[in-house]
Amino acid sequence: MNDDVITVESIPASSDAKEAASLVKRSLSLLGHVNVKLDVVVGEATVSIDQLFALAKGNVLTLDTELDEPIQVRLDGKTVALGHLVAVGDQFGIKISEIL
Amino acid sequence: MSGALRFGWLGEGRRTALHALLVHDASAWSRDWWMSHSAASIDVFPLDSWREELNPSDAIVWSLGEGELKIEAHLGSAALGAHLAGASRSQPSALADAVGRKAIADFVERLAKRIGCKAIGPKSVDPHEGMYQAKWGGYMATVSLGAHHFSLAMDRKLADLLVPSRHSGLPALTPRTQAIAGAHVSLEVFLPFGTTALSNLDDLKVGEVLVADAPLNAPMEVRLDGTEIIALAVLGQSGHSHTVTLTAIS
Repeated sequence: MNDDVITVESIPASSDAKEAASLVKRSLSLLGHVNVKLDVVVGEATVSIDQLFALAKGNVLTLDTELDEPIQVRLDGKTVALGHLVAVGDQFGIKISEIL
Repeated sequence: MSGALRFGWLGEGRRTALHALLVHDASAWSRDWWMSHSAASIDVFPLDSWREELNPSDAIVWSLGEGELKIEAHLGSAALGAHLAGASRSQPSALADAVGRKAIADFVERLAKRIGCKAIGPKSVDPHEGMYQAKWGGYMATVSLGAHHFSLAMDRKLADLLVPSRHSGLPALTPRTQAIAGAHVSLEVFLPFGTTALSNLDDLKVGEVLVADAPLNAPMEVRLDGTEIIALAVLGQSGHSHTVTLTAIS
């Protein structure tokens, strides 16, 4: 048993990551036509349970985001970009200000 | 056994409070009993171990509620009585003994009054029972009256009665409805953006505009903790902040 030496070749983690990234890139090019649902979070308000049950039509909630503050674009619950809400004709649009 | 027993297991905060309590009561007691009373001569020294007993038969035990207190006058109750009366220590008499015993009984009664009970005793002490017993581990101290002193030891129950632990009681319960009513939740406001092709995302750059499926008059979704939609709303503004006005609620 002691004579059996197993040599394990170490692969640098960075090369793993690069390989994985290129694999995803290749897959994305294959899946480019697939539609994904995006969520845009305009802001957040914190209320007590008491207030929550007292909410009624016409009530106004002030959100924690300022008008000039970028809002989040989420894909599958994860923020993938930040941007500003704009009007594009009759539609809402997001002008991207930050993306990875 | 004698060398191993420690008396430090009453928390420091409570030991300090107990010390202050004994100093206060000893001073008041001394004013009433000691002819040569001098506030500067009264002191209470906490003990970590019991001093060697000169005459174990002089120790007396009292019951105060569920607790017990043991007291031993330095040179016996007659010498204490003589000291309190300002008589010479070399002439302890039956009268001095009675004064000494009565004075100690009064001191014990003052402690008993603090816990709202009557002191029961003195009880006879088993001469073989030393002070080095776990039950006397609550608190030990020497009360000094100038040149004379007496020592006392109390069990944990008495220490707890005199200086109750802040945590001894059950925590106060809050009604569940009241507790829940005060809890906070987060409401996130989402723009139903719609869908986009993955290729659009892959090529997305800063400055580009993603056009939503939603028209400008589309209601915003108010989601509880980002999941369940509990209300619909229209976007507005107040000062520098975004606001939403609820248009429908579940």
